[in-house]
Amino acid sequence: MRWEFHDDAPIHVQVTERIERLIVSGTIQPGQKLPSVRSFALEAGVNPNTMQRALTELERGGLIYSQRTAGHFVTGDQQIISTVREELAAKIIRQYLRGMTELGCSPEEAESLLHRQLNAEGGSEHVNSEL
Amino acid sequence: MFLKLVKHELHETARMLLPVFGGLLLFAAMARAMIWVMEQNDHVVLAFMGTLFISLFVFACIACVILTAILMMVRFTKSVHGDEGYLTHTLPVGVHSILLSRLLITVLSLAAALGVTYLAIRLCTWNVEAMEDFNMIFTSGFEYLGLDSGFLWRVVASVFVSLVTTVLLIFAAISIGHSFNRGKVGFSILFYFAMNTIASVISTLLALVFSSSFLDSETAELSTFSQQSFLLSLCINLIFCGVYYFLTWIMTKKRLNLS
Amino acid sequence: MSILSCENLSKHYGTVAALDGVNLNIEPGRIVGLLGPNGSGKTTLIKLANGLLTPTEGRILIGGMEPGVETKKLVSYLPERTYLANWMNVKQILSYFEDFYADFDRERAAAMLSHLGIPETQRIRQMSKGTREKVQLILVMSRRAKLYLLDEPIGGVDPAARDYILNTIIGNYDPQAAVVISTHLIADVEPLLDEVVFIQNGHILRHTPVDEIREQMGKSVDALFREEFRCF
Repeated sequence: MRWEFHDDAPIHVQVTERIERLIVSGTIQPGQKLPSVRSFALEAGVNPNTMQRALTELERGGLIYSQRTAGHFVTGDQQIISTVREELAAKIIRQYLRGMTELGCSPEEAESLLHRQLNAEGGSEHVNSEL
Repeated sequence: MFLKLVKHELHETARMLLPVFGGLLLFAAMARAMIWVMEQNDHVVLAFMGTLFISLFVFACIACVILTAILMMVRFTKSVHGDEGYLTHTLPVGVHSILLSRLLITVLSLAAALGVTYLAIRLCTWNVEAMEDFNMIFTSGFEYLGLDSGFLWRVVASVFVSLVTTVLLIFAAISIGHSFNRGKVGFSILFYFAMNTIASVISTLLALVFSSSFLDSETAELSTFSQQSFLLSLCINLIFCGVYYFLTWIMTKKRLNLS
Repeated sequence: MSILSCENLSKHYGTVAALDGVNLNIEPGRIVGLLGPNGSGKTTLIKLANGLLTPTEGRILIGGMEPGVETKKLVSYLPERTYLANWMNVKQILSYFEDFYADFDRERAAAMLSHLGIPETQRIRQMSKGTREKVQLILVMSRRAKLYLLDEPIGGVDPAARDYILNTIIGNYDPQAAVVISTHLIADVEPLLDEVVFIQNGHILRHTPVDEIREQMGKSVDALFREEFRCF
């Protein structure tokens, strides 16, 4: 299945973020081996050079590490993973706030609306899947 | 690489021509059987049928050679100037190899067609009494007609050289015709007739010059005339071959125009 | 050294200039999109690189050599048309490529064909148009060439075939080789590309890394293309 890309950011940035999400969400477990550059590129439907660049960026951030011949592995360091998770969460929250501002909501209003929504969905079984 | 091209051409040509050749030989065998039936029975309907069948056989002999020529022309056009040309011309082989492999196989195919036609005629007339005189030509050779064996070889050589010349003329016409964006086949035919006419005019003029100069000379003798005119036509044909080949080569190398 | 370089390359058909003073260098290891509207000169450029056309002016070099027998050993070319003889079956075609191209990896091709479920006894004439295009691409990508020139590899195929073709290109990527993909379907190939060359009316309008377009202009190649070619 090919990954979808939007127009606003370079592909390698989007690939990097996509892999970060796979890692922080646990789809790819800490310590797990990543597919080879070529097969990962095939899975994503991107140029292997782009995939290589994304992996290099992730390596620089410490989220993954490479072993000379064995390939790339996800870090076992939970600290790094939660930092990245928080960064990604912050990004989504910023997007949310920006969207609310565009609607003319003040930050306080945005917060109370968020709480109201959370309470409304609190009784529902599907909270997690909805998010 | 040249040999690989030849191998492939041979394979493809054999695929096209073997059914044609086989068909003609089968036809010949059937015609011979028909003659045998006619010899055994004397019936007007049979005689009519047999004559019709044999006429058809004669027609088939001519058709075999013509069909071979057409198939080879189509093959050249498709593989050098048609869509298959995209593959032919991106193989790591030179233009000379491409053209010479086609020339070799086309001439061999036409020679084979003539050979098969000869075989078919022999098969059809084999042991037929009425054809004894005809068969004598083959069995006792050209001496039967009062001609020496040197003449036979000159005929064979002439036929071969004119075959090569004709094939190259057609290749050249196709290559020029296909350099146009439209009406490729039309232009090919046009150039064939145009070049053929020019070639006829030139060779006729040369023949006239030669024969008048020969007849003027004191030591005119018929056998030397025949020998010398043979040599002359051979030389003319060889020069034409060179010109046609050059045209084909330059058009294919510099002015290839695959659609 | 550039694997493909054009120096002031022009090709005229009569009075019409299909290419006009093109200068272009393609480096090994790059996947390059040759993008332009129909009739912009994409196919002419690719044909020149294959020696199927002769330049009117300037020159085109493959690995430093003018197109000829030696460069044809380096270039693997996918034309727009089906160039395989109808009567041939898969096995004969594999032998043909093996015979003529020293860099042809028959096993790789056979594996890809059997993966697609195409039997070696099947003839070209028995195949659908989509299957023929896939077979042709497999043959072309099974060569270990230095330069792949793919002319409209995804033109006129369904989305499933398109994904297959793009995956085949990625799956056979070789860091020593360059791939040039000519197309007008930019959105589909964009994630594959390192660089794009915009070509119009025989002129190179732009030769830029894809990341640069997105980073500096904040838009996709597809959006930029629509913008730059809007008036035409």
